[in-house]
Amino acid sequence: MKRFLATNPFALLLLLAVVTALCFVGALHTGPAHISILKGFADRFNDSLSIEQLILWDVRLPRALLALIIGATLGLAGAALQGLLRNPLAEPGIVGVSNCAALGAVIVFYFGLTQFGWYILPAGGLIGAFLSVIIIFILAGKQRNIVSLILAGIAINAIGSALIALALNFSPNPYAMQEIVFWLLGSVSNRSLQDVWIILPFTAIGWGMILYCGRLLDALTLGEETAHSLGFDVKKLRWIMVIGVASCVGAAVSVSGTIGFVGLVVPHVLRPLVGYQPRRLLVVSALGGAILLLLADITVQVLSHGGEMKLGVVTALVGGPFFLYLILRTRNYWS
Amino acid sequence: MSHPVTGTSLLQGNKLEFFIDGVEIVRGIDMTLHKGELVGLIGPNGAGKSTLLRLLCGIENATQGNVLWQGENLSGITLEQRAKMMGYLAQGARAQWPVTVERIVELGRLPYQGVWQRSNDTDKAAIEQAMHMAEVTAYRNRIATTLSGGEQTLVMLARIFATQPQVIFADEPVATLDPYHQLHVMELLRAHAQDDNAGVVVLHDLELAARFCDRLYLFQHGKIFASGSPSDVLTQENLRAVYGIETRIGCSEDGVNVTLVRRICEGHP
Repeated sequence: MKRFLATNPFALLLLLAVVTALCFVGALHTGPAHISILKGFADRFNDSLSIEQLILWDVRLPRALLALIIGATLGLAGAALQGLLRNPLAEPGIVGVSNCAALGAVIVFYFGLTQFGWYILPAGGLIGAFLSVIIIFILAGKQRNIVSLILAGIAINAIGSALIALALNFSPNPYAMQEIVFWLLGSVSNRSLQDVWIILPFTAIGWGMILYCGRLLDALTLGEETAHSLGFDVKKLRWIMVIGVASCVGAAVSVSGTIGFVGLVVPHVLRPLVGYQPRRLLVVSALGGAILLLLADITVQVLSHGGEMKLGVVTALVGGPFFLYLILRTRNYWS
Repeated sequence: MSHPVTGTSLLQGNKLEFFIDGVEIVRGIDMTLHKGELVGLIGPNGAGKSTLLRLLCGIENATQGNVLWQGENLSGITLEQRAKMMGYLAQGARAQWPVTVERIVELGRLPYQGVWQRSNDTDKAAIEQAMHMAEVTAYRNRIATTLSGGEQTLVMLARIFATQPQVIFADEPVATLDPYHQLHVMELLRAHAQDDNAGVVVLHDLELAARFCDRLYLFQHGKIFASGSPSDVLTQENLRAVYGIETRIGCSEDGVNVTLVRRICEGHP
């Protein structure tokens, strides 16, 4: 089975696409109320107001779409960074984008800016993400070495965390603090279709930039100098990729908060199924990320009674030990 | 085995200089590569051989001076075009993911493929031919990282053959290989450097340099100490001056034989 999938790229893509579609439909059917999804769609197009239409379009569809888009983003970005750094332990947070996007959103909460419009929160996240990229550019831009880029990312990450802690420390009131903490835990519930529309362009551009650099990841299998000798402007393409990751991850985090481990675990699990080819892993990993986040969000809703469990908490709870297991199992392989 | 130097000039380095953090690694080097020849770069560690190799194939840009490809400035030729003309075998080149041998060789076709393109029939034919030339077809489905060092070097050479470049630049390709694989790699490089093709190879083994190369450049402290045919370059005086070693130079039907005897002075150079 594994071998069949490794030698038939389209079979694996088709399989994952079908599973993604099933999970998406499953997510639409998940919720406290039992409604007819088809009636919800039909009423929307007939322009007749019904409870099914309201629940579907205001609650379920945004939630499922966000889980889909954000899961795909995290899976894709994780595969891209692992390929770029040729390190199976890399993840989107490593370039400092996640924390800075979170910081941008926290600042919005801290000053109570959300009252000025629904778009202020995602905008704050995006601004944070792009500022982090600009700072990394300034710190590591002239260097050829990838290590300087990672170190700059780690430094930015640490500064982002410190400033978030500062905001929590001096939060104006307990309510604001609770709001910040809950948001940081990561969730896709209580969002609207408008949130989907505001992040979609940034995620789509980011996806495009990452996929455009797919060949570079394949060439990097041979090392940076050899990739250069194969006609790749490694330095330029690396920046396109990092900006692409910042754009889509920044947009995702700005709406959902930080959701960990998806970008780390998904590419790691799927890599053997594509014969360790970094370019083929990209789309496969995006679909895998979407599936994982849709399933996680369904689980969250099924298990929640009363106080809702946050999506980011579930991915961390499941992802952490699972990742440890993977490391132990493949320890000999990577050393 | 030496050809008289009459071939057309393929590649020319003019007054090349290269600094890293203010330290001069390459100090004003002129060199030429003609069609049909295999040129060896020899010299002590840190003499600037590998750096010169990277300047010649455009991986690094010279601080001063220029490289001409058939009379045209290399910096005016796009990376994509260069990738089709030149193949680079990095020092100790190893795959960084556990992919199959065939897949590694297929990467040699990347310069011919667009952003969204996959291998077509031309690519596949070139891959088959390259694997055949380097004799790696038998383990095409094996994982490259599980092969021996010698086999991995052959796979990397097959990857270069798949690109069908005019010039191959090899940085110490035989450094860690057993005698059989040393000869195999050198024979492949020699066989490639015929007709319109050529090769530049960095070597530490003076015997192999003498056997397989048409011309040698002997480096010391980022400069060329001597150049010419192996018998002109590999003299007791030159080797004593550059490496600080005593040697016996012999001559047989295989060409020049170099026997390493002992160091001359401690604390060289």
